[in-house]
Amino acid sequence: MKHARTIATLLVLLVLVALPFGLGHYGYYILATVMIYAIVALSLNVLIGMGGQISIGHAGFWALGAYGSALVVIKLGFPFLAGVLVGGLVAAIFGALVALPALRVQGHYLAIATLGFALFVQQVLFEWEGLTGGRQGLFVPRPSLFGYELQTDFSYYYVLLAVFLLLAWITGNFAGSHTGRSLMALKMSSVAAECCGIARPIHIIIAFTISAFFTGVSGALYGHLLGHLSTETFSLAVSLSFLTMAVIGGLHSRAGALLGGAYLALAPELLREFKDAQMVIYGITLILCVQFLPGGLISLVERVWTIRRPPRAAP
Amino acid sequence: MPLLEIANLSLAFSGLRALANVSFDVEEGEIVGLIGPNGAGKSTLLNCISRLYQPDGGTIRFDGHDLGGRSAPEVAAMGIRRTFQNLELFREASVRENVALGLVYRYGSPLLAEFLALPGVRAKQRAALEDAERIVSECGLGEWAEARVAELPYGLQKLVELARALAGHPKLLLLDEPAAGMNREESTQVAETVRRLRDRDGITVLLIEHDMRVVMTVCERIVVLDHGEKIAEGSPAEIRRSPAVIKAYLGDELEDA
Amino acid sequence: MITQLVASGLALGSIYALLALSLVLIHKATDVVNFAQGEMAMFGTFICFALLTRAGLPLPAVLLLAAPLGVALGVVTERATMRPLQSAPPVNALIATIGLWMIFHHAAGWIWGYDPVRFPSLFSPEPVEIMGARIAQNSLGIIAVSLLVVVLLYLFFEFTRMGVAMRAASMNRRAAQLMGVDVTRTSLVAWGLASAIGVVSGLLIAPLTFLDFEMMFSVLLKAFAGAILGGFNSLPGAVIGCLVIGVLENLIAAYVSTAFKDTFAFGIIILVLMFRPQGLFTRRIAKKV
Repeated sequence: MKHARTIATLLVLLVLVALPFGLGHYGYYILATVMIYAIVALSLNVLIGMGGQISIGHAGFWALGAYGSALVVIKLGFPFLAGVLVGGLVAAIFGALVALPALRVQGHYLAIATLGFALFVQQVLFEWEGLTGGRQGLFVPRPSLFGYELQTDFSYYYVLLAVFLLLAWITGNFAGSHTGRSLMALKMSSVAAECCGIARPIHIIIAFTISAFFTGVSGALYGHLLGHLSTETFSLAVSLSFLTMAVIGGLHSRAGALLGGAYLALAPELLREFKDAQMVIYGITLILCVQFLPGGLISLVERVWTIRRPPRAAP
Repeated sequence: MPLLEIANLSLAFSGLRALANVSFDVEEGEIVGLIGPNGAGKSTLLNCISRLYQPDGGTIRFDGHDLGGRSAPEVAAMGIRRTFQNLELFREASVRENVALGLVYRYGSPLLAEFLALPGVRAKQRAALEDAERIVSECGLGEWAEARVAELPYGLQKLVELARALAGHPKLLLLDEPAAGMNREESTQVAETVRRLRDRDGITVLLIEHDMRVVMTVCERIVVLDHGEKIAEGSPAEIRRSPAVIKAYLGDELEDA
Repeated sequence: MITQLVASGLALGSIYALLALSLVLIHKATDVVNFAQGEMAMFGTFICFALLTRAGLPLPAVLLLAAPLGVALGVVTERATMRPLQSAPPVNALIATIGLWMIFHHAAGWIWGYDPVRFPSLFSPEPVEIMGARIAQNSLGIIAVSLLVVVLLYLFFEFTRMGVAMRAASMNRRAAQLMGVDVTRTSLVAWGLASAIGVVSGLLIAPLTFLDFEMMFSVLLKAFAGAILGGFNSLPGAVIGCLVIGVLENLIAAYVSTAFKDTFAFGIIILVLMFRPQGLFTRRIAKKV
């Protein structure tokens, strides 16, 4: 059984590596966005799936990462990877700050607070023209590694894939760690967890900080892919799409995060004919998903997978 | 010095009195029973000790330290562990994981090391797992270690909660109706377990119980609450004879015990 | 000057209050915060507008139809989306309302276009003189309509069987269920009522801001702020909270800056959540373990 899992993982890796071959420039671009979105989905896996904390303001962290990285690269001459790290760290700092109200409130209150946070970030970035270019926006240089500029999205895709795999690995380690399990314990029963010596505040702050860091990294990577930033890129609709893809992919699985990223990147292509009705279809899929497939698309895959194995003996 | 000193404890919920000036001590190594009719404030008192409730007045001292201003996780780390009247388990997790979560806080590693799963982190995880495994089998739960807690029968769930509390190596164990919903044989077993924990591991126990047979056989001292006030305190024999207690509620229950 | 600002602030605040009432109604009855409340109100207002312009119904007839139409919208939505999630974890219902938000928001743009349209005024813009201050009839009209809704709601909760049952259910759902209150029905009624009140708020704001598929978003944000100020579980608290928000908004726009006119609501939300999450008017109740 353990072997089966390893083989499945290797297969997925092989497919991910082979995927760009035979595609054109637009295909590379789409694949790159899949990875960028998948990182955000991963961050929501940590926050919602493990921490039980909701956010409908992740576009705010995404924006902070994108602008943070772009600014240090442009104005201070940081190399690309250092810029991405700075983007992640800026978002992480704000993540810790957003966690403060989350310590006292839960559920829908938190959703409202994160929503307000994202709007606030968007507005400040828009108004602060001297730094962010305001309405005009900001031009961001192409990504470069060790002095070599990555001219095509083909090569950039592999950088993004590597970042995704690194963060997925970290997520897995965290999920198995004492801190990660304590976080999940708090989600299952905060009273029981606290009486086991597990302190809620620090774990919620950690969850928000990690999640914001991942999303900030993703935003930074996205800025370098787009080449141009404007605050419209970080609207409320983006926050909602993030939540949608994370739920549809599956909130409790790294492979689910990948599926979520693929959904968000590919759905606009597949739904192109529907034009304006696209977002309506997103909404409908989201509702159908929570109603009929609360584990996300990945649970479907897992179900097919387990049919071939004998069921575990009931106690 | 007593292990637990409760002095003039008071608490009201939106004007309704739950505890009024309750004082008593628990000596180290003692098994003390807390009894009283429904709504007498027994669980509220336990919740004050484990800091789920903030009392309006009075002090609780444990091991010489004032518990005022400490959080629930802090007092848990000081060695106060508990079970709950209506079970507070990690229902989606396995029995082993429930027990392990009772002790993980003692095996913390730096966060960055956990992200990278460094060898030191793995070693601590293994140590914690072995510790949990030992407690699982000691409590006779070995057979169900992998089972999801939500799927277990009620009696076993209570046992899992006890095992999780023991995983914290407590000095003081607070048990809220450990024998509720059990038949005579099972409740006898509970009584024996409590005795053994005290005799072998020196754990001090404060327990709430409605089953008078259990209370009278296992407890060395009994505190009786009624309407949030302490109305009696003494040995089982004294409590049996106390007119105040009999009047408050014990009378008919003692007869059929 | 200040009297006018306060008066129009109160009018604005009462529009927020109506939406906040819808939010709190559903929250009390079902523990769900309906993020789509504003969008449902906008959608209902667009339907009214279509009845007015495309079907050619007279304005009074449309206004009369607005409430039943709102009820229908709420009831259908509840049946289709909330009912199947009744026993699911609460976060699923919250996510579903976010799905509803996307559906109503973009469906309105898709069906009726993305350009703002002028909605006929319900009240004369002529100001009247009250105690030396000139106050727009518009403001007075809005306040009067909102007051009417509040009174009707009060009568419903005090004097109808359903209203009393809903009050009981909001205090202790399990106990109410044991006493024979049909929780499924209270949820349906709450959604119907809330949606109707929401449409009224949409009809009141549309003439002020143009009818637009984005018009309810800032209203929703301020209704949230007002409801949170009031503790999110108290109908009168939500009304008072929203009136405060409305007046504050006008004063800030006049004396401080118009740039952050909308974001200040967020500031209030954060401050209240950090320092007094139970709201200004309700006492914190310890969770029973």
